[in-house]
Amino acid sequence: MSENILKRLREAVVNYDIELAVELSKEVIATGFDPLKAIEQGLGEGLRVIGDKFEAGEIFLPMLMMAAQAMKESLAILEPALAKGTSRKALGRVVIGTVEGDIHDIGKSIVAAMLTANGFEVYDLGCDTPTSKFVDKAKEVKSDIIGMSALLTTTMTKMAEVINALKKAGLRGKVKVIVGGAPVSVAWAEKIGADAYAEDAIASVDVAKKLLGK
Amino acid sequence: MIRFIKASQRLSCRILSKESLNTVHYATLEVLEKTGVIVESDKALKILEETGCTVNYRKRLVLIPSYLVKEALMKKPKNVTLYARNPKNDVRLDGRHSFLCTDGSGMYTIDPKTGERRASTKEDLSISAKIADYLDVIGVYWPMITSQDVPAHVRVLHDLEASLANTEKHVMFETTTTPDEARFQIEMAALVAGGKEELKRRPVVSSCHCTIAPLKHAKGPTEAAIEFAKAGVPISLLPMPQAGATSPITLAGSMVVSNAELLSGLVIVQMMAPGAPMLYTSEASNFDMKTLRWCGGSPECGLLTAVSNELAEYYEMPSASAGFSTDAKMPGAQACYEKAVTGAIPVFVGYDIVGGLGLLDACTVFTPEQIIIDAEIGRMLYRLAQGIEVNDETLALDLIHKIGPGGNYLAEKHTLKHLEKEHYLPEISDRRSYETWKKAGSKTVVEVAREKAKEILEKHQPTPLEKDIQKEIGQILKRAEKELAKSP
Repeated sequence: MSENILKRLREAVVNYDIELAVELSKEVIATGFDPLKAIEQGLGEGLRVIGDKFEAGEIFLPMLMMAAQAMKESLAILEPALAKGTSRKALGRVVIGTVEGDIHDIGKSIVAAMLTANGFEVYDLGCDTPTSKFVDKAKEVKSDIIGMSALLTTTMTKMAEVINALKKAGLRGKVKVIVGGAPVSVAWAEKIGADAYAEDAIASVDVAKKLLGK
Repeated sequence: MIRFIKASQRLSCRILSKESLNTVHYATLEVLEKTGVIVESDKALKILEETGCTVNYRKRLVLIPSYLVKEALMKKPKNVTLYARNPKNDVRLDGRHSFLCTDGSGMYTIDPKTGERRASTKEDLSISAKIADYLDVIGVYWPMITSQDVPAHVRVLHDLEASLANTEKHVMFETTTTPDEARFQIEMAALVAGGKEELKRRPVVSSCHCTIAPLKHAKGPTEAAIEFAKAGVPISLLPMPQAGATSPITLAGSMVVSNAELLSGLVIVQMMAPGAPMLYTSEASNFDMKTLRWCGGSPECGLLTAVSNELAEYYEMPSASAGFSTDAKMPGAQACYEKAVTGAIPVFVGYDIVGGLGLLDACTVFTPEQIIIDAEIGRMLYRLAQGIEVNDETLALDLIHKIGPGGNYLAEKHTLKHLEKEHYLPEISDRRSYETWKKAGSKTVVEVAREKAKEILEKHQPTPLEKDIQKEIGQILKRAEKELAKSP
């Protein structure tokens, strides 16, 4: 039974079947199966497979996004059932968002999906994210990384503001900062004191892993 | 294998009005009645005289009355199926779909190892057939090059053997020039089809025969065509007048010469083998008055190609075209833009078969990567020809409402469902960022295509012919080598 449900969860994600993943997650709760195991060895395993497939060019972005959505909706069911004090093992925790004044959402969402697919625990703050929200969330979830996106030359300066706020909050030593977006470059990342620049969604995974020494 | 849907009415282009087509038709009938055509086959002359043509045996000149043209047009079938040795590759020319075909009968190969141009070999031919077999955009395989490393008198048979052995698709060939060769080819095709009666029912090959401009039917090819027609093998006659040299410099006059060659050939074939399946083809183009060469990539070639399909529709015959032709010597910029232009015409006018994929330098030079590039151009052109479909499903109003302002459509079933139909998904074109492209080795599309061809050849193995069929074909080749050596 236990192997079977794990296999079914894996396959639901690999087949980017959102409804099935949700249904199986409910089954996990109903049968009293270990939700942590379901997340890590079921859903998480499936998501890694799909992440690899996307990187290898075998599948298209909508499939990856649907798989990530399957994970997200399943977590909403499984996480509340986790025993107090336990948390799922992840490569690292990432808080991600598009900076204040910038409503470009899609690139950042794809990066979030890619990171999720590759085993990171991702908190997506959406777009037009106030500086304080980045800092508060990072503190709250003890994040390892903050990812910021800006698509406008006029909003990219907000990235420096977030880094300064992190310093003030005494978090800069604990949190690595990755920046990305069309006008952003390696030079800009260096100038504002970010830890890394990620060129695209695929690159972001390697950049994040490298920063955490994984 | 991909059946492309022909361009929609709004997108497809028309060169001639119905009136002009009528004018060309009646002009052609006048040429056939008054000028006539030379037919160098006594056998054909006799039948033509018996059916009502006026024959001058000394000049071998035949005047064909219009009513015989009408009769021949009534006899030929409208829809033709080009069967394949693997039935899943059957090509049904139903007038609504369009198929891509390789270019054929080249003489040279750009050696993948040395990059040098050299005479093509049977091995090169096998390689080209394997790649065409793998590519799902190719519906029909025309032996792309000739095996110049085998004795000349049995070359067409070796070409057919290598083709049938290395692709499970329909094989359409062009180089048969004598009825004796045709008989051996029919034997080989019948073996693969499962007997002579099966070959009639499911002809796995078809044959194309050049007429000689202006207005001549040579003895060998004509008699070979008749052999094939009697065996049930579909025939196309291929006029290739060169405007200014072997037909009037004006394109209208060239059309008439081409059409007269084609319709007189139709009369010959239908009178000797009534109901024989035939295709309408023409490679009329212009003669370049500076370089003295037939032009494969010229705008005039495009116009004449377009009109040839209009005539095919006028006569209710399936059409096959050249296209994707180029005068470039190597893969690269000129090859790509000329092929895109000369490929667009046959795709947009709605040919049943669009040929010309994979060769360079006026259809003479084979290089494995070019067919990969041409396949990409072909798929792009058909995507353009599809236009935009407007209905409830494609308008997706419910979805637009569900996602609302500010969301995204990436994780939607609708996106996945329509992705491959709505969006052209490139096989080799590079759409990555400059940095990623650079990191991956800064490869040109020609290099990428070359690697892809290599990969296909390493991985793809078409189902081989059964052992005893291979053996029997070998015996036919041996027999032919002796017998054809004797014939003049």
